[in-house]
Amino acid sequence: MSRRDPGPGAIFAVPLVVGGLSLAGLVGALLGDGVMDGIGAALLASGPAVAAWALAARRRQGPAAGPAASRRNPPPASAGR
Amino acid sequence: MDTRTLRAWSWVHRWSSLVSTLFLLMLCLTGLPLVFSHEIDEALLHRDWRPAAPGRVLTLDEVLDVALARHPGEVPAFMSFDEDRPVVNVTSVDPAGPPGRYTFQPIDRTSGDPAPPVAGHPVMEFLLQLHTDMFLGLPGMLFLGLMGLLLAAAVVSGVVLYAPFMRRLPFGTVRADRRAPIRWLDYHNLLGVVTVAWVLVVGLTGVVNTLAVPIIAYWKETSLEALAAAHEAPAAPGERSSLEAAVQRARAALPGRTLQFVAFPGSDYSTDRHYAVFFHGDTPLTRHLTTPALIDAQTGELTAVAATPWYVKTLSLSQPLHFGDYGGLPLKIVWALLDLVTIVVLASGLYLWLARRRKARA
Repeated sequence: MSRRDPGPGAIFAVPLVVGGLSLAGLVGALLGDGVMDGIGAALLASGPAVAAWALAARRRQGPAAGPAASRRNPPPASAGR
Repeated sequence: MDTRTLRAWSWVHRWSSLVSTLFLLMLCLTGLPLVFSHEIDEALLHRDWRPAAPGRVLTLDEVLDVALARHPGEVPAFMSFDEDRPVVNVTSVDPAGPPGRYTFQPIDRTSGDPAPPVAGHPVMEFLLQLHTDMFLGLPGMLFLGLMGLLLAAAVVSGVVLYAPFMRRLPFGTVRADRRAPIRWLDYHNLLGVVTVAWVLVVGLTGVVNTLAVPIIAYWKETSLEALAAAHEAPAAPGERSSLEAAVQRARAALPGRTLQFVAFPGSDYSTDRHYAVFFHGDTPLTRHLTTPALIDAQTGELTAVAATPWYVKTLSLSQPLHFGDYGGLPLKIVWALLDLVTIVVLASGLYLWLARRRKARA
């Protein structure tokens, strides 16, 4: 394993948290009505919410994305991570 | 992970997905409106039926007599109870007729008059049938169950393959500045990994639901028949005690629960000797867990409260966890959202396979 390899712990940290919250939501909504339904739906929504966050914050946009994008974005050296 | 192991997982992911993708896309597309079937039926159907004599309540024996008088020669199989209107549904069968052909009569419990059946909108009924068995009956159900198992294999192998792909990328990276196959690989990985838990739960509970027919048949043949074996002759229709009294006796044995349905002697869900009176609880969890009290149909005595075995409980709980109908509208909306995300994951997976194939051929 190279020094740059973050290992499975780091790779799966966010997916594991999302998976845990989703399961808690699925079971939570089954255990009660009213407030529990709301909490269950909110926990289950963690997956789509994290995906939406990633698409907003971790979507690399460079000149190759199209002429309009390259006009809007800073030069490629600072655009990516 | 060495190259050989990686290749093996890659093979599992490719083929489990390829074989099942079209069926899974069909299940996701038909499942999307089915999540809201209650709301859609409410909006499309006009249900303005009123009971004929509010306040009056016929006994269950009177309702049964009325129903059987309309179909002479038939014997009762089931009696179920609508939750939001005073209607008793009597299902009967002609013992000399072809097996599985039932007569279903909703009856106004205040008057004995026929009540209009509560059916879903024809479009929703069509989608449900397509989703359940593709109009192929039990073989269709079992086939879709197999597709569900392939989905589970695709998800597990997808999670294994996620690690080498994401080794050098922070979570959630989408390289939108790269060519389409890389961009879509990132979308596929991101959307796939955040929906793993939901897809596995909905997929595996779907598999359990496809086994409903064999599960109920096995339960009847083992647990229920074991109870019946302790008793003598079957209870013929002419020599049965009062149904109303049997239900009251069962209610006393299982207080605080809601009556769901009665299975008559000789039907599925019961023995040849007993009224099986099924109750469910009132929390979202126990609403799906039914418990029958077996009442001797000749003597009217309680024989046993037959707690359902683990595999019937698993089947019962697999239904809400598959349909997503147990947590109100917010949960249904999240369910639909996750279904849409799954459609993107399936379609992008198919696209990635096609793009790779095109590249290999070029």
